Amino acid sequence: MNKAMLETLRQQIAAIERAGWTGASRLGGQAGLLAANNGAAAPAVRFGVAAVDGHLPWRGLPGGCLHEVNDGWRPPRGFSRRQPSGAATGFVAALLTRAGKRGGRPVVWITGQETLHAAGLMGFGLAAETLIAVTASDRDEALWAMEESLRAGCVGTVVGEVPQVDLTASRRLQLAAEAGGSLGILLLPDTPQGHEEVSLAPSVAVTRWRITAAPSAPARGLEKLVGPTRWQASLLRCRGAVPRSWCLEWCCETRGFALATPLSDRPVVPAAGSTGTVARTDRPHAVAG
Amino acid sequence: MMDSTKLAARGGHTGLRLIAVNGAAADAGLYPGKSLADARALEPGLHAVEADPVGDSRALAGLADWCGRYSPWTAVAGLEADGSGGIWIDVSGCAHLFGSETALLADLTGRLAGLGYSARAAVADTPGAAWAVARYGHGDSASHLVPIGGQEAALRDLPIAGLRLPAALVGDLDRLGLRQIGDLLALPRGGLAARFGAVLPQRMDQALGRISEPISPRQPQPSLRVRMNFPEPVGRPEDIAAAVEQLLDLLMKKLDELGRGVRRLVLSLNRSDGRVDHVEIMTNRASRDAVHLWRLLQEKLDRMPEDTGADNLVDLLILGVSRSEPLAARQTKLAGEPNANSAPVSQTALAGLVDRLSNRLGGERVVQFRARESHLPERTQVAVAALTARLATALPAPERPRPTRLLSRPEPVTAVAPVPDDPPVLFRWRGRRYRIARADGPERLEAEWWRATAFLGEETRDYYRVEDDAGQRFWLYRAGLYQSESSPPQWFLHGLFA
Repeated sequence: MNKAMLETLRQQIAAIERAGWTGASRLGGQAGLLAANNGAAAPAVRFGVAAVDGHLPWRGLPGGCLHEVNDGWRPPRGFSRRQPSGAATGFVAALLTRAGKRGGRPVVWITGQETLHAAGLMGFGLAAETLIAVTASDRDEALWAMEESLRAGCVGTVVGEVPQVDLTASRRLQLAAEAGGSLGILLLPDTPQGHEEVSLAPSVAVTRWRITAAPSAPARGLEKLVGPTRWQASLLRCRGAVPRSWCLEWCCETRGFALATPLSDRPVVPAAGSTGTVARTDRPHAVAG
Repeated sequence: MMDSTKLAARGGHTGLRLIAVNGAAADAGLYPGKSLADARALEPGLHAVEADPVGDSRALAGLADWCGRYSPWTAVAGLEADGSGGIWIDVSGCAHLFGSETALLADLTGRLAGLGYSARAAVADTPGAAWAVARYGHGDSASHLVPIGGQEAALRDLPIAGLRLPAALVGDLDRLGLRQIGDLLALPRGGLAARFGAVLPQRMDQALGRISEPISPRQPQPSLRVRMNFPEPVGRPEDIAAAVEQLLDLLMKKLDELGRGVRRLVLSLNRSDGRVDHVEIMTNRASRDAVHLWRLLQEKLDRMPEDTGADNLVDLLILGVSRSEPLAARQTKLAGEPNANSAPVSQTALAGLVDRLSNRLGGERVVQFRARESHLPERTQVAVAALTARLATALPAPERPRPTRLLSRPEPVTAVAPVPDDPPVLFRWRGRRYRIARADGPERLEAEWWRATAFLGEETRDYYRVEDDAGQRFWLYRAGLYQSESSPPQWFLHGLFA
C-alpha cells in the first residue's frame, strides 16, 4: 500500500466519521464552517511532550471538541462519589494552563461539589480571574450548564464534572463545542465495574483519558519528601491512535508536562495484532471539530 | 377600599364566638361577637367553619397583588376584628386606562363579584376617607365615589368607627354621645387630643387630607411598566410567549428613549381565577436586548408548575422594570457577525451567558474566586457573583503548595505518628488504610483568635502534605498540640492534592 493511497483512505474515513459523529452533514456543513471560523481561538492543546503530541493525530488535543477525563480514584465507602480526586482536578488545571488564553475567553468549571480550591489550581498556572465556577446540583443541571457554556462561543474551555454521560448527551455537547469553538472537558468519576474500556459508557468524545495519581520521585537525598506532581495518564480511546499510557510529571517552573520515565511509556492494553501500525497516524494539518 | 365577609368562628375564653357572618346569616339576626351556641339556638341550620386568620391574610395579600391590574401601587390595609379585610389601591393617574374613576370602580367590583367576593369600594382623595366610605357609606351600592375635596361632606354623617380607631376608644366616645364623625368635627381640636390621645386628631386629619398618610406598597415599584389585556383569557404557552415578546419590544423602545437598560424585570401573569404569578429575572449588566431578556424569562416560564385548567388562563400581562441603569444608545450588532473576533461583543455574550446560568441555578452558584486576608485555608478564598468583582482583590499566587480540592468539612481520620510532631506513617479514612510513603510538613497555621465566631477546631493546626504508596496526595492536619499521653490530638483530612 503506498502512501498516497493511505492518505486517500484516511480522508475518506475522516469524512465518514464526521458525518456519523455529529450529524454535520444534516446541518449542511454549517457546524464545520463555524468551527473553521473559530479555528484561531480554538487551536489544539499541546502537551509539550513529543511522545504524547506525536502520538495524537492532531499533535495535541483538538480545540472545538469534547474530551473525556475519567477519574481513576476510588473515594472510600461512604464518601461522596461525585467528589473528583485532587489528581484529576490537577490534570485538568494543567490542561487549562496548556490551553492558554483561547482568545481571552474565560474558563467555566461546572462542579457538583463546592470544593474547588483556587489556590491549588493557581499552583498549576491557572489565572483565577479567568475562572468562573458553577455549582450544579444534579446531572441535568450540569449537562445544561455545560451545553449552554460551550455553545455561547464566549468561553474558551468548559470543564464539566458529570456523574455519567450517555451517547445522546455527549453528542449534544460535541455539537455545542463545535458551534461555539470551545474546548470541552468532561470530568467523570471512575466506573464501578473496573478499568476496562468496555465498561465505560459510549460517547462521541474525541479522546478519552483515565488519570490516576502516580508516586512522585523526589530528588536524591530528599526521598522522604513529596516530589513534583505525577500522573499515570492513559489514553483509553482516540480517533486515529491506539490506546497508550504515559507517566507525566508537572514542572511548575516551565508550566509544562514532562515524560517521567521511559519505563512508564508502555501501552495500557497489549497491542493486539497489527492495529498499532494501521491506526498510528501523523496528520499535523488535520482539523478536528 | 373594599370588604369581604364570611362566616367564621374562633375559640375564646367564653367558648366559640362568631368572627364573621355572611349576608344570609346577617339577615337571620346573627352578628360577629355572638356566641356559637346562641347562634345555633337561633338558627339550627347554621354552617360554621373555623376561622383561619393566617389563610385569610394570605388570601388578602394575593388579592392585593391581583389589584395590580388597576395600579402598580397596592397594599394590604389589614384584617379587621370582624373578619373583613381591606386593600389600598392608589389609582392616581390610572383611572384613564378604564375611562373614568366610576368605570374603574365598576370594573373592580364587577370582577371581584365574579371571583366570589362580596366587596365594597370607594374612591376618595385620602386613604382614610376611602376607608370610611367603603365600610360605612350609605346605601346598598357596592361602590362610592367621593368627589374631589368632598371628603368632609362625605364623612360628616358616618359613624366614628370609620376613622380607624381602636374599639375601646370608639366605645368611650359612644358613651359620651359622640357617634358621628360630624360630632367630632364640631369640637375644639386641642381638647380632643388632651382627652383621647393623639391618635384621634391624627386620624381625623388623615381622613380629611390635612396631613398626608404614607403607605408602603406591597410590591417593589417598577419605574416603567407595560401591560397587555386579553379580552379572551389565553392559556397556550405560545400565545403568552408571543404577547410577552410584543411587550418586551414595546418596553425596549421606551427604555431606548430614556437611555436606560434593564437590571431587574418582573413579569406578572394575572390569572382569571384571581391568582397572580410573578416571574422575576435579573441581569448582571444593564441590557436592552429583547432576545436575551426573553430567553431569561422563557427559562423561568418553562419551569413554572403546569396545572392545566380553565382557571389557569391568563387575562392580563404586566411587564415592569423594577431596576434599571443608564445604558448609552449603541449600534445593534450586524447579523451573522462572528462573536469571537471582537472583544466587546464577546463580553456582552459572556454577560448574557452568566445571566442565563445565574437565573436558572441561582446567583450564588455562578461565582468567581477572590482573596480574603486570612491564615485559614477555608477562609482565604471567597466566592463572589461572577463578573461583579473588582480585580483589585484578585487572589495572590500561593506561597506554599495548596490542594486543588478543599473539603468544605474536614474529614476526621485516625493517624499514626511514631514520634509527636513527626509526619504520620499511616492513616485510616472511613475504614480504608493509607500507608504514607512521603510527607512534607508541618506547616503551622495559628487560630484566628481575633475572630469572635467559632470555627471548627479553634486550635492551632499543623498541616502535612502526604503521599501514599500509590501516589495519591492528601492534606492532613493535626488539631492542637501534643499535651498529654491520655488525650492524643485529633487528625483531619482537609484537602486533596494533585
